[in-house]
Amino acid sequence: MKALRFIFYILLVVMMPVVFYMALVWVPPAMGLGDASRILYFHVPVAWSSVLAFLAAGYYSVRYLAKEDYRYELYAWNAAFTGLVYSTLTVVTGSIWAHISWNIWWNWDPRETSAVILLLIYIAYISLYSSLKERPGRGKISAVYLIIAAVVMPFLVFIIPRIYWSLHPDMIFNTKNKFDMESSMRITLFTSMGVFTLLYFFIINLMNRTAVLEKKIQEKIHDN
Amino acid sequence: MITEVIVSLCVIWAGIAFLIFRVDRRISSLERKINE
Repeated sequence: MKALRFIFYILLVVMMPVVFYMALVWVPPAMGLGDASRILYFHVPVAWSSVLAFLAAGYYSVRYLAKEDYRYELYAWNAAFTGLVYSTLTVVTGSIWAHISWNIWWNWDPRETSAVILLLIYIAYISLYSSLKERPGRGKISAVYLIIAAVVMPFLVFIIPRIYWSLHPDMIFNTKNKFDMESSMRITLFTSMGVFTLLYFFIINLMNRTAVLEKKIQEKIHDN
Repeated sequence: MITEVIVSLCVIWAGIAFLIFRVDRRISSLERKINE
């Protein structure tokens, strides 16, 4: 386990600068978009990390309902919170890209609208969880909410923006629903997605371990 | 145009730093509790 963690850290530390080099230097700019297209190699991995986070929140909630182990409640909260931060970053970087490509920061494109709805769903979760405080049933109510949110999330991220006509690049460059991209761009995008996935796991692992430690120390103080 | 890419990168890393700082703050509060 220790060796695996070491490999994980080395991979993250070595590969992150590699991704920066690939995205900013190695890969050619996309035709028509110029250097602005390089945002893609950071915007998409961040969006992917938020999807991972919301799925993780749903998964931990199912585990919590099945086992009623307090750790899963904490894990689910951490996953939802990181998902919220990551999706905010997705919206902000998307808006910067929109300003370059469409000359407007925000135009209520289906992709943008569904991202905002997703943000609101998880902001509502944070409010719900905070308002319930230490009341009994908080874990169960929040877990059910997160499971419903995890079921709704794929519709908002993958389906709705593809049903309606959108200016978002995947509809323009990818009208046949095929992954139509030059190989160097594809390699850079997938490497970046892989490294950002590692970074996500590093952050969520750190948050989960701290939250469990905090709870255990609180209980010990309470017992004494 | 590369300026916007750099700005986007700064935004992303600010968000990630925010998450790590939150962990750091919680660890500091735990240290305080243990020392009390």
